[in-house]
Amino acid sequence: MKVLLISSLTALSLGFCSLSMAGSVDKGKDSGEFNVSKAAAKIDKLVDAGLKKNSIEPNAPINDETFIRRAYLDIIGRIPTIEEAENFHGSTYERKREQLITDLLESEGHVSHGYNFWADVLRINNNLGGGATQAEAAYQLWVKKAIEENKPYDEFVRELVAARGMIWENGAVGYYLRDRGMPLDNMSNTVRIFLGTRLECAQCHNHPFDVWTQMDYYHMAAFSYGMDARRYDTPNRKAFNTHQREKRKEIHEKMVGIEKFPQISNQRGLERYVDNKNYEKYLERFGMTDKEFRATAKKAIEAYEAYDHEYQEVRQAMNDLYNPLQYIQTTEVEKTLKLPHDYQYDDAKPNDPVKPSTMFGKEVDSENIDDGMIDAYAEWMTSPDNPTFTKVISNRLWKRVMGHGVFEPIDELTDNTQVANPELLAYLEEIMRELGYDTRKYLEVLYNTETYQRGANTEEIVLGMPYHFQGPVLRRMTAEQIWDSIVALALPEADGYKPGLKGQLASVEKVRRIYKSLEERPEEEYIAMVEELGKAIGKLRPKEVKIREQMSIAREEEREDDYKRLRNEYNDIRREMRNTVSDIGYNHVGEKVKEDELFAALGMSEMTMTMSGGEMMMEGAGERAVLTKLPKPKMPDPPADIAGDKKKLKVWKDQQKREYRTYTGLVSQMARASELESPARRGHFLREFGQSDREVIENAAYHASVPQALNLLNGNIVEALTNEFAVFGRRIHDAGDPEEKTRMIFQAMLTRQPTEDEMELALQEIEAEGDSAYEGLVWALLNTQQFMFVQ
Amino acid sequence: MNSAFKADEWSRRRFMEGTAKTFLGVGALGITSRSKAALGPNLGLPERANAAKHIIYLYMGGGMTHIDTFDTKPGHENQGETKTINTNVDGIRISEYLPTLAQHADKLAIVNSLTSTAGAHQQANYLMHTSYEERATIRHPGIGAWALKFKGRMNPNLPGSIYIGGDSRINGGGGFFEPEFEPLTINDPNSGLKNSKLRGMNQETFDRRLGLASKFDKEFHETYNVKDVRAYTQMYDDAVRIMQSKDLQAFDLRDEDEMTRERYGDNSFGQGCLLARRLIENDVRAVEVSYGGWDMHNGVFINAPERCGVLDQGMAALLDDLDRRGKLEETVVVLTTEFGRTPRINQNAGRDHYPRAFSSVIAGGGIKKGIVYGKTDEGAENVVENPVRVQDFNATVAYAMGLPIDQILYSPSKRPFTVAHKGKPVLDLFA
Repeated sequence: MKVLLISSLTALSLGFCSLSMAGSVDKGKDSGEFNVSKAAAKIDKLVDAGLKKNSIEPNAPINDETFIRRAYLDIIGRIPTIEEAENFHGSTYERKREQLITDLLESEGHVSHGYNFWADVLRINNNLGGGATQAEAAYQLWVKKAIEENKPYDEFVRELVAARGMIWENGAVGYYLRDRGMPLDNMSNTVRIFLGTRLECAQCHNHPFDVWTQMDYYHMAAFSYGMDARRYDTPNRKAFNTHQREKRKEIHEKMVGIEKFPQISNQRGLERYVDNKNYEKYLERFGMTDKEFRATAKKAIEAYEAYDHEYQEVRQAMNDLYNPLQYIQTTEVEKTLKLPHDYQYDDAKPNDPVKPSTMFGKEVDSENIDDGMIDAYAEWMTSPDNPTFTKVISNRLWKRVMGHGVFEPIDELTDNTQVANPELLAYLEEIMRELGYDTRKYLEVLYNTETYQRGANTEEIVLGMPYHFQGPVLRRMTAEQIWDSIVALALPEADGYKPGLKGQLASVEKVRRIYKSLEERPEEEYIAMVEELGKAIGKLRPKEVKIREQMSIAREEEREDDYKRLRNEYNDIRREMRNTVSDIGYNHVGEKVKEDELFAALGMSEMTMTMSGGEMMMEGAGERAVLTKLPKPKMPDPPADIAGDKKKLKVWKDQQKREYRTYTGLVSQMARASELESPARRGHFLREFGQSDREVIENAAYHASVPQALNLLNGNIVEALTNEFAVFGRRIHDAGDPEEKTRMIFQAMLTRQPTEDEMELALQEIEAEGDSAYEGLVWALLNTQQFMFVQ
Repeated sequence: MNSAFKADEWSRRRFMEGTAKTFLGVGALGITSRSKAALGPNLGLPERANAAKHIIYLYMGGGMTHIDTFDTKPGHENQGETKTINTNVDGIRISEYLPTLAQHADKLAIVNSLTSTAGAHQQANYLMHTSYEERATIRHPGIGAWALKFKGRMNPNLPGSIYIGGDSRINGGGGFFEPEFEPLTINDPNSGLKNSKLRGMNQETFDRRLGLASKFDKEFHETYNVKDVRAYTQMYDDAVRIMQSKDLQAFDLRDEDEMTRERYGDNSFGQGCLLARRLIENDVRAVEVSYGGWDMHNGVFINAPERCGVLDQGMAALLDDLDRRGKLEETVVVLTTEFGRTPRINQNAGRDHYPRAFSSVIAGGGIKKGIVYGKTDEGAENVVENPVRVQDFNATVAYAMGLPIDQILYSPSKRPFTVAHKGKPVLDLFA
């Protein structure tokens, strides 16, 4: 087991240990087939040509201070820590910017930040409820893993669009489970995200502003219409239903005694027979009078009641058993899409069946396909020949880096789309194809351009007018960037800290085990189990009914205490019923899920951090270690001057304890946004700053609102940052004189040193306010717009 | 402005006004007078002379049982244990679980003939809040957002639309409208508007530190004199203004005496109703108070009395106060839910989802008082008289507020929408 000092690990993870070995950057870049620097230079040439053509001067190059803040925010989604900035500035390696870009793209933070980006595009929402939590967790983990593995984008899209299987085998099925019951909307979203075309208008009529017809829409929808994300009808479940029907037949035949007499279950059913115009024929067939038929029907009803009595608990048990298994898979089934009943155009009639057909590009021969229809569709969509697939992703990632697309909007390509710089766009597409859709490499090229490393534009961007990239666009941080920056200031090793991961993994595993325990049983054993469960619940039922009755009486007689007691008893019996399902139905399989196995399955190891001799030690740091619990910070030693004074010591200790409690309270809710509920709940910091609700594509907001200001002015963020047990707070506390503390605060908050004027202002404040001024400085910087905008 | 409300010049101009200023998440349209022509709906409806200014929307999440509340069926086997009591209006009888509201029946228009086909929670909840089916390609606005869009905010110091409740996901928010139409969320009515009080410093320190921040930002502001940055400066001014505004007091329930607070009920719904009243009195346009827990698949005769008790107390106190203070005529109070519950009792002594027939209530805002509209059959299973679709119900509420029901607004994706999705207001409900 490796034991590492945390400070050296930080450097290691960023690859700065290799700085001394000059040339490491060149390796694989100059010798490989693809040359990042050359590609970046060519982009710059094309951008410059565009600028010249439009008589625009490029912005000046940025300094290292601006670069490192921007690079950290753009690539890993948070501002750099003091140490990270020190490491960078301290390095004398001449290509340290390139090195930093490469390292950041390889780091854990890039996965977290990339997840936020895709979660907004794909509308990943693990708060949909209705038993879909595990499916969404699996989907979320799948996306993170794809980013981490740098899955080529075309493969990524193919696996999403053609996703089939169980959630524990293939988390990508979440793509369809997300939109269960809405296959047409799902198709509109697919086409918008991956092909940059808006079809949703054409669902109900020909597109009013574009060329697409309603028929085009249905042709496209026919490809994915068979993707079925509904509750799974398992073989055992089917077997049980057959068994049940047989049972009913058995009871019916025994009690009625007349062969093939209809299974009438109630008075209404009988009336339907009597009112039927063929009633006479029935009577003839059974050789009965009306009176005899009615008498026999009465027996049939009694038979049904007997059966129902015996099986109602069993039926309920079946529902209970399958409750956690509502959203566990996506399959492709044979299903014909039909035109809507109000189809109004001449090329077909309402309700006509529709065959799949592509809207542009190569036609898919839907009659002759090897795999599923959906595979042919995904293949067509992600082919380098597809007219828009490569264009859209090249431009989407360009926008991610530069803040503006070469064409806008990025997902609404029409005949009228204005491309700011067609040569540039063509070259970006060329790189994307040449790289085989390696998006990380593609980003690396973009971050290495001079264009990216120029000052942010200082003028208003006019919407609807092409932008020529004199520099990246000034952007407000995303909600996640603001939050993650704060988290990284407060917590140690924030990028690798995943407090929710265990729970997510375990929840998916639990569903898998429940599924296996039900479906791997032999048919007879399964049927016996369901019947046993029905009986067991049936045994509890009289007690439940009795409590209910007593409650009703207690309420009537206004005996409040009795009522409350009975209410508790009622809750207990309901709990017992649920436990019975787990006992008999699942053999308790879900209860003890071994966590290390889960981590092993993901190729991770769990890390623990301990304090040792004042240094933080990490154990178990393997290839990729995950921190699921925060290390307990070290209690500081009491100041020397009170060491001997018991009274003062006690006051000091109490104060430390209070401070520590505040710390644990504050940080218990903290982790990077990608590791929290996704999206966060309404009212959470993240949502107030515009985190997408993940209801529609790219729904994050960047506008100013009063709750944001109130949060930064009067919320508890400053406490979380300056608390002595928080990483940043400890640094401030341990720093030397007021000047050093001030420099540290500026460095941490704004990634730069204070100007002379600023230093003077700060020192005046410290002079006037004393120690509380440091908190005041943090507060003031948190409330600057510099903090919130990426320059 | 990138919203492509390009359909007609009139509505486009209205939108420009609507987004004139950003403040507390709501576009301050102000109290602009609307020309009469702009109201002219094509349905041939008479113009609402004294349209309501406010809406209080009480939403019962999970599906409020109709047969155990406003549509009881004494003597029928479906009824189970729930008994029926008289109200203060001859001929109107409701559930024994609502004894206080029974004494305010003379203020209610009970609609017992709502009907829909949406039987799943989320879809039905969404439909009720927006009049549209839930789609994965668009978010539809709720009635509060529509009201703000058409009529603007009334108090520039307070948000125009407020949601009180614990749900993390709400339906019928700002929808595809600009972000400022999103309601402000209050999770706990007792704690009021979050972060509006100074924390760990006095006003003097606050002012000095804020001054410091602005000095640190001087160069940045000079370099980046762009709209997005200026919006933040402006927004800080607004935030400081609201912190010092006396309207902020509207959020503080401690202003109310103990008796009043108790009268509404010591629970989040009751206190939410009280907060709703205070906000309306301070000229907030729309308030929703959400109260869940109505999904009674088990033990309906245990659970319904408890939920109803809370509803009964809070809603009755709200109606009573609004009436006494002369606010009921200018406020539409709506009580609604996603669907009713199966009249037939299931084997867990519960009731399941039932969209085919269910009940809601409207009070105030010029709606007839002390009436029951629509009827179900003897078992409360089918609507047999005056069916009201969800869209019709919402059109009725919109009409009570004087909103132009036929006015088409376009989403940024250029799709046309109306406030109640072609629903027709139930004119019989208007006095």
